[in-house]
Amino acid sequence: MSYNLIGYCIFITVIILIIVIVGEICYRNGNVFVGALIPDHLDLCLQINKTLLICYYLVNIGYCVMTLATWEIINSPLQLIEVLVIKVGIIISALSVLHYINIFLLTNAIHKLIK
Amino acid sequence: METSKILIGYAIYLPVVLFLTLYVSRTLFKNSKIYMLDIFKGRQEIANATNKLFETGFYLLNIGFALLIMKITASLNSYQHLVEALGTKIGGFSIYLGLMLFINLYLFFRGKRKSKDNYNPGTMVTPVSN
Repeated sequence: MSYNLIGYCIFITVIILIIVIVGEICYRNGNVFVGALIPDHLDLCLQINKTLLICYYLVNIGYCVMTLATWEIINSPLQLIEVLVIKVGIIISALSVLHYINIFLLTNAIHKLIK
Repeated sequence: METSKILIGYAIYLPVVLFLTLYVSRTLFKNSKIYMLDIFKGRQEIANATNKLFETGFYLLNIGFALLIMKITASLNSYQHLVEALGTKIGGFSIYLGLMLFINLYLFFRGKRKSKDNYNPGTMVTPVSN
């Protein structure tokens, strides 16, 4: 088995774990914000939030799987570790940027609602 | 540098960096709850949710950056150079972490000031012409 295949297996496992954990946290804590967007329709808001969660999974996991095609050829265990860590780091950084944009939008919306 | 030395470097770097991130964000977000309660005018659930979301973002940002800068490239094969390379990496990451901490604190203070401004709209003075 080539090192690339081992790398793909580890990468996909780690990335899906991280994406699912982050998605769960955001989903649970986002209910408060999404519930305030349309007053008096809590069940509708919960459905919207669930749809958002599914979209988030699809976009992120899809992107991760797509980038598998662009990996370089790996020849040694050391290179395997380096490539793996850099790829995971790129995905986590992208997630953090998306996450901060989300917080910014939500807090702006909620400040207008509280006022 | 020899492969085994670089692997030793990684085995030291990753736990140190993860521990630093964990410790800093625990400290920051344990103390930030008070600010959040203030910003959201005592609304417990919104304050807690925002705090948790910021904490997640902090973890993602810093661990992502730590992983991105992990690769060690040193030409000479000795433990001295390994220690120097590790020192540069961990020191640089600590400085970055401190910067992020101050940016987060600035965000909290800004939110506090803004919520105070919104709370007291009557204090605004209309400018007098002439």
